[in-house]
Amino acid sequence: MMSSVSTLRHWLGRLGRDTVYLVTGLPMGILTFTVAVTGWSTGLGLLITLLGFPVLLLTAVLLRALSNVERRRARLVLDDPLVARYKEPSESGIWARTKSILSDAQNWRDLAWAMLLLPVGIAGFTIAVTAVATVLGLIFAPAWTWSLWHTSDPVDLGVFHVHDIWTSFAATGIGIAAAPLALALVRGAAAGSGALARALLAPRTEELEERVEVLQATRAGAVDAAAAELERIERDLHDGAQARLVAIAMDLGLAQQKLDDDPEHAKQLLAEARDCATAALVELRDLARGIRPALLAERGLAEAVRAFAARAPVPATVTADLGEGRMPEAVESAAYFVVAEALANVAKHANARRATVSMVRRGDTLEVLVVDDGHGGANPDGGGLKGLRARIEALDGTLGIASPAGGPTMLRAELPCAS
Amino acid sequence: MRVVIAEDLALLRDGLTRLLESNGCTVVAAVADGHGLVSAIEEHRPDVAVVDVRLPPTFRDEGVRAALEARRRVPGTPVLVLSQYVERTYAAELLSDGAGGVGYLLKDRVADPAEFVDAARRVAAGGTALDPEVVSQLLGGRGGDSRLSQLTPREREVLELIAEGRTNAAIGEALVITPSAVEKHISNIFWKLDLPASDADHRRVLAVLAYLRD
Repeated sequence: MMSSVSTLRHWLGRLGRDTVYLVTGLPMGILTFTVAVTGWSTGLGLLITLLGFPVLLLTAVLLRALSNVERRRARLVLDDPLVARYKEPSESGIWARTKSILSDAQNWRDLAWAMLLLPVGIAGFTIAVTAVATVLGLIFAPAWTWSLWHTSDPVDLGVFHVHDIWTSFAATGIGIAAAPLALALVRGAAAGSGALARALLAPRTEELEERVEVLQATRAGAVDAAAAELERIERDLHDGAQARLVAIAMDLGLAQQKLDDDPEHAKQLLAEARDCATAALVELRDLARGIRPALLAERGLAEAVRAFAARAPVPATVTADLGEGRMPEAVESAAYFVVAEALANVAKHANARRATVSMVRRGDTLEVLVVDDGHGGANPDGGGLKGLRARIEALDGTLGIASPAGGPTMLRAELPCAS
Repeated sequence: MRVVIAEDLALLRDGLTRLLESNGCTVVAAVADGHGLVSAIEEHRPDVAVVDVRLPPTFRDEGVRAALEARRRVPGTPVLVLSQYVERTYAAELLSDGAGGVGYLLKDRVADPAEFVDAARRVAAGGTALDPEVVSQLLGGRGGDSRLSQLTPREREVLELIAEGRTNAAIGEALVITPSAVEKHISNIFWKLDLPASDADHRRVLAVLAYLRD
């Protein structure tokens, strides 16, 4: 008894979700079709005036949002969720964005779904409304005849005419008998529509493979970056602290030799050794800070960056809007070194008078922007920036540099920071 | 003793110059890279060249390569290589022409100026001066059925001291054995390593080379 009740509940729930899916498909179809057709025809029509690009871009953005709504709506009839997977533009700017949208097969499939949803929606809506309405009409025919008994006209139910209380009860019987058929019809329409949505809106295997390739490349980049970083540290140690210690040992050895016959010279050597030791300590401290700034771990990104900017040779103002809570350590440290490298470059190359640093966390994305008022012309493939890019891409982030000759130089990094 | 120095860091280049000059050597040239070293050796024909392993532009083994090139152009030029780390391969490469006059020391050794200058003099005289660190490193990763494995532990100790460039007297002192016992060990080593008969100094170099190549 319990099981038949729960089975009935299950099927009624199923029918409810299928019906909602099919019925909402029509207004969604009208919306997506309208946006797609209007956007594309306007955009293509205006392409000759360059105004077409922003229109097409806006259309793509709108269609992408609608496709995401569609993915969520498909949850009504599909067991597992549809994930969205779009290409990330490799750099910022309207042209790069347009290019990434045009070359992304998913966008074209989104467009196909936007167009198809109208006929599919009409069909689904018709099937759902007809099936549900007919069955409900038959089952509740007695109530109908009872409430309308004073009229003499027979009630026309298409294949069946109800003209008195007995035929109305017969209609109920037919309705109950026809219910499974209606259920099957609605289920079939919903499943078909859902399968089509999955085919067009879910990422393809090749695209997932491409994603794997990107991940492999960025991981290799991260390994390279780590190796380059280790080499730099080893070089710094070799040329810095290690060399100074050798010099100290040499001075002390000589001083010991001279102690008896030339104490003045020995004194001078000892003083030199002491200066050298102080310099070695400073170098070691700087090196340790370059590997992992203590303040970053202890006080977080905003304070560490402010402290770095305060030490930078070119004055830099820092604004940070990072919300509550800390971000993952790898993200904070990548963001810190983006700013550190950018400000070091500003001091070295840009001939700038000031720089601004802004760090904003929006939802699950951290945006870091460093702008200077220098003469521009930065090389985006220079050693430091290349290492930074590898580091950021390993975290699935992006790094963009705009540095026209004459300036200003703008460096922008985006890092996913869901904790 | 006339010396050429090749060291890219000015701090150490100046320090080495000072150290050598205050111990009775004449620094005829102090250069900062491998090309400079080769031309300085060709020009000055020094008694010994003191060379840092890592030189620009590669900062890897530029110093070793430049030293080998210089010895190819001016055969027999004694070379004392200094390094932050010891690499047995480099020592073997330097000795591979069998001409001797090769030293390979950790930079740490400059802390004892007298000892360091002494090593430079041994190299200048055609001997070897391998850092005790090189020797003990070699001994650590050794085993199997080489000719060296036929040596008794005492003969190995003697060979290590030969590699460091010690004289027979110094070896006897270090191991607390008589000079005749040292000579006996050495001739056993030469025999076991199958070294051709030639003058003693040359055979000592070959023994060290066999030791490094093993």
